[in-house]
Amino acid sequence: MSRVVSLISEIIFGVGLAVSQMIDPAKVLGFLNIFGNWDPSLAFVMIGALIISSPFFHLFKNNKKPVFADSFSYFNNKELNKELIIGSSLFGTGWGLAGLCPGPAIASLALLNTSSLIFVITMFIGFYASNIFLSR
Amino acid sequence: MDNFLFLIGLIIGPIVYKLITQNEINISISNSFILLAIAGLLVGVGTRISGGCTSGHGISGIGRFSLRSIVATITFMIIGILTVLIKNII
Repeated sequence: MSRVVSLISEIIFGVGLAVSQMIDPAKVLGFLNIFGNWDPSLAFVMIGALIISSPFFHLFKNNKKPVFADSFSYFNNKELNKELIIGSSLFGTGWGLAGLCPGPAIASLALLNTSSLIFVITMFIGFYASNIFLSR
Repeated sequence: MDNFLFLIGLIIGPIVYKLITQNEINISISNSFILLAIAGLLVGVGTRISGGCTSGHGISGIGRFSLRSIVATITFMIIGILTVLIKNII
């Protein structure tokens, strides 16, 4: 059951990225271009997503496990450490360079373009390279 | 297996959207392959080290009022904005 739910929820996420155009790097770069020709529309996508998801996170936060999975997969780390700042800064640099972040990048593979594929492959290399670094 | 279905679902999403609405999804990526590869590496390493991305910190984390995620989101927003600014100047 958790597999079906996993698949369906990601399809919904993918549809959302397409409807909201967050799947389009040009749209993301327009959103980040606040000192130029700023396109603020993606702020509504994030705020909209928070308005829907946040009440549910709080409604179920005292449950031992999610309804359709064995455990919650988020961290309860509360420490503001240098990894958080360094990691977010690296992420922000890559996001600002390409206009792609993990969700939309993977969703855009549906459009069969080489650029998305190159980004996703190097992103996964980044994931695994950091695993080696982090496990030391 | 669940993670794999997760990825497959994410790719099926835009196809479902296309089939239902008959709309084309237009995306434009103007960067060179080298720049995309560098950006991909940065996003991969950054996501892993900071423990989240636009959805992970920006939606799930802020949605749970996690201070770590609020700090991460503000950081990557500011750095993203500065990166675009610097790229436009160059």
